Amino acid sequence: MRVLITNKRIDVRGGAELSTRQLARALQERGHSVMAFSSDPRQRARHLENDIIPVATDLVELPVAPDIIHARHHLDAMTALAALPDVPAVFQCHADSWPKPPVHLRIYTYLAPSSREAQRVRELTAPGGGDIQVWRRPLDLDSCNPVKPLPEKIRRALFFNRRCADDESLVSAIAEATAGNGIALDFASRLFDRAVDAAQPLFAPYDLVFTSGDAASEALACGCAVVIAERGECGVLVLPENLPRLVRDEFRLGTNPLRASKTSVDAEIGKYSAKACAHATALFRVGVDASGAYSELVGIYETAIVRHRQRTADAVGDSRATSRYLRDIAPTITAYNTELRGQWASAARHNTFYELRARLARVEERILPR
Amino acid sequence: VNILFTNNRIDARGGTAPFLKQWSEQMQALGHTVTCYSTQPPQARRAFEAYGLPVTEDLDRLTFVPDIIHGQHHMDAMSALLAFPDVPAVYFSHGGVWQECPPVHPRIYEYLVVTPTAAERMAVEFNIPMSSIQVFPNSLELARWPALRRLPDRPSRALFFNHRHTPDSPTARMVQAAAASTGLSLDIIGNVQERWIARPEDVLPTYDIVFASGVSAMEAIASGCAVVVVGRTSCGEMVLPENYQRFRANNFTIAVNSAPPDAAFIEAQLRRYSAEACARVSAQLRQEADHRIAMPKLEELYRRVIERHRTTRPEPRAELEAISRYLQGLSSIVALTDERMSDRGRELMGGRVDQDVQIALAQIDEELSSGIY
Repeated sequence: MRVLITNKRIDVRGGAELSTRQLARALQERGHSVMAFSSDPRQRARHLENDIIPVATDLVELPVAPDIIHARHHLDAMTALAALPDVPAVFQCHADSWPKPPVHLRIYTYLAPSSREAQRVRELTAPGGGDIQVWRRPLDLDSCNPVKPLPEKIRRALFFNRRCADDESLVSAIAEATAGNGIALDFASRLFDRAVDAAQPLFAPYDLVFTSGDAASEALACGCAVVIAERGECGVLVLPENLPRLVRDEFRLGTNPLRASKTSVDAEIGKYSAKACAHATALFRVGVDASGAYSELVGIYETAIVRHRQRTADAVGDSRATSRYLRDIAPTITAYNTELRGQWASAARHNTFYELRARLARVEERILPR
Repeated sequence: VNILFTNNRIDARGGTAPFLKQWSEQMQALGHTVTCYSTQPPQARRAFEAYGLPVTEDLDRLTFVPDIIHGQHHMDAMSALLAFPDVPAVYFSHGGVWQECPPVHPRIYEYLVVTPTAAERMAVEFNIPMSSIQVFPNSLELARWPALRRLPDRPSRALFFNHRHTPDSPTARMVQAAAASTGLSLDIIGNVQERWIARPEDVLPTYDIVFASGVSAMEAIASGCAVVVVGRTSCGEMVLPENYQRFRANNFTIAVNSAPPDAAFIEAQLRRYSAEACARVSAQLRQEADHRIAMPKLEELYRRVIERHRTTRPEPRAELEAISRYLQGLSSIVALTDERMSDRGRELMGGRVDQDVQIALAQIDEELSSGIY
C-alpha cells in the first residue's frame, strides 16, 4: 500500500512531527510505501530527511499516486485532497481547538486519540463527517528504554514543554520547588533553545521530568519519574494507582486544574518513591502494543479504500466541501492577517516565519494584556 | 443576471465596501438581482441593517444560483467559487495587499484592476496573462455630488482628508506649515483618532483645496475642489489639466517611496492653484468617472464572461488542482494562525481565545470604520 502522510511542518521537532516520523517508519517496516507532504513551502530543511522518507513537493505533478491519504492537520489535508481527486483519506485528529476537523466526502474515517476526543470530533463533524475511531499512535518502545534505576532521592530534574517559556508562572513554581528540595533543574524545548531530536538521550539522564502529552509517555517509558505539567498548571506525579487515568487522558491535565505553585509542586515531589515510579514505568511499558495498533491502522486504511471504490466520484461535492472548509478558517485568518497588517505575506519572504511569529507576539502583547 | 458579490467586509464605511454598496445599487437599477457575501457572517446582518444591502450569511442557503460571481478578496471569492461549481467569475483587485491578491482558477475568466501598474503587477507576480486583466478605473456615483463648488480666485479654506495620517505625521505637519505660510486655513479630517465624516459630499464642497488620495481625491475633484494628491509618506502635486491623465491612470495616488514631504514643494503646488484650471479638471473627471458610464461596461463584461463559460468545457480536475495550489498558498498565514490558536487553544474552555479574538476584532472594526484601510 502507498500512503501519503500530510503534516503541517516537517522541519522541526514537536509532537506531531515526531509522530509523523514514527508513523512513517512503522508503516515502512510493515512493507508499505510512504511519502510525506506539507503545504508549507519551507520543507527543504526538513526534519524527515534523515529518515529517508520521500517528501512530495508538488502533489499535482506527483508521478505516483498514493492509495490512501493519512491526513494530519487541516490545510495540508485539504490541499492533498484537492490535488489527488481519486484518493480516499483518513484524518487523524489532535486536541486542537481550531479549526474543527475538515469535513470532506473522501475523509472516510477520523482517528481520535481518546474516546473523549472522539466525542468532540463527532460533535464537530456532524452532519456529514466520516466514521470516528479511537486510535492512538503507540509509543516506540525501542527508542525509549530505561537506562538506569531511579535513585532514592531525586537529584536531577528536567522541565520539557514546547509551549512554556521561562517567564511562565509554571516554570518559576517548578524552579522554586526543585531548588528547595536540592534538585538540579534543566530546561529543554525550542523555547529554551534546546530542541532535542530523540527521547531517550533527552530524558534518560534525569530522575524526574516535568512535562505532558506524548513527551510524558516517552519520559515515563525511559524510566523517569514524571509530573504532568503544562499551561501554567501542575498536575500529579505518575504512580501506579493513577496510571490508568493518566493514560486515558493522554497524560494531559483535565479541565480547570489548579494553578502551579511552589506548594503544589512540592507536594508532588514529596510523593516520589523510586520503587513506585519504577513500577509505573514497568506497567506502562507492558501496556504498549505497537504491532496491534499499526495492524489496526492498516485495516482502517483498507476499509476506506474499499468504501471509496464503491462510491462514484463527486467533484462538485469535493468543491463544496472545500468551500465550507475555507469559510470555516477565513474569519480567523483574516483577523490575524489584519493584526499583522499583511506584513507577513510577501511571496518572497517565506522564510520569515520566526520573525513574523515574534512580531505577532509583540502585537498581541500590545493589544491583548494578560 | 443574478450577481453574487464577495468582499471581506460588507458592513464597513471604508475600504472596498462602499464600492459594493454602489455597485449593488447600480446593478439593481439596471434590472439585475444582486446578493453580497462575506466570509464573516455577522457582517451580513449589520450590512443589511445599516445599508439595506442584499446579503447572504450562508452560501449553502442562497435562494438562487448566481449567473456570475464578482469576487473581491480571495478567501471570500474562492469560498463562493467553490460553493457554486458551475458558476463563472470575475475577480476585482483594488490594491496590492494580501487579501486582494488574485486567486488563479479556471472559472475566473477576467481580472479587474484600477491602474495599469496594478495590471502589470498582477501579471508578473501571479502569472496571469495580460489578456485576462482589464484596467477598470474607479468611478463615482455623481448623483451624490450635485453641487459643484465654484472656486474663488484666491483660495482660503483647505482640508487634509486622509485616513492614514495623524495630524502630527511628517506629511500632515509639512502640509500645515505650507498652508500657514500661504494664508490658508487648514482642517484635518479622517484620521483614526480624530474625525470621520459619513457624507463627504456634504463637507468637501465647502473647501477650496483638498489634500487627498485615491477615491477621496476623486470625490474632492468631483466636488469642484482643487486637489493636491497625498500619499502614505509624502505629498505630491496639485491635479491640473496637464497632469490629470497621469494621476487618473494611477488612481490619484503617489508612490510610497516618493521624496519626503517638503513644505517648500507643497507651497509651490499651492501657488499653482488656478480656479479655472481646477474647474476644468473637475469637469473632465465628472465626464469620465461617472458610474453611469462604468456600470454598463461592467454589465457587458459579466455577459461576455457568462457566455464564454457557457461554451467552455468544464475542467473539474484542473479546478481541483487550482484549489490545491490555492490552499497551499495559504500555508504561511495558516501556520502562523495555527500556532497562535494552538498555543491558546487549550484555554478555549475558559473562553480566552474567544475573548482575545473578540478584542482583536473590535480593534479591527474600529480601524475599519474609521476608514484606515
